[in-house]
Amino acid sequence: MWRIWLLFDPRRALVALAVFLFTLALLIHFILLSSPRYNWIDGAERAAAAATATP
Amino acid sequence: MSDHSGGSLTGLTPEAAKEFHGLFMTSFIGFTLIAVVAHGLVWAWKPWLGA
Repeated sequence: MWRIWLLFDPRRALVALAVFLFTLALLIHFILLSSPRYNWIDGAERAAAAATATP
Repeated sequence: MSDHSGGSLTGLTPEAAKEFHGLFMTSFIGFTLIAVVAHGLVWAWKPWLGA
């Protein structure tokens, strides 16, 4: 398994991995924020407002 | 051009590759543990499968 570093340069691999993971994390967090159920910033308020708005 | 890379395309020696791999795996396992805990906390808050 360690031989992989004889093929892929560790520095380039680490930079690529960091960029990929950061982008993926950004994407997932914004997907969650865009959904009513998982919006942890103002999801609770919106749910409460929705509850009172429907007679 | 003689190929004196000894099979290494990155110029690392086997010892350096093994050393890096050890650190890489430790970091990977640490990252994974943190991710598992985070997913557990979110699941406890609001499960995302099922009805």
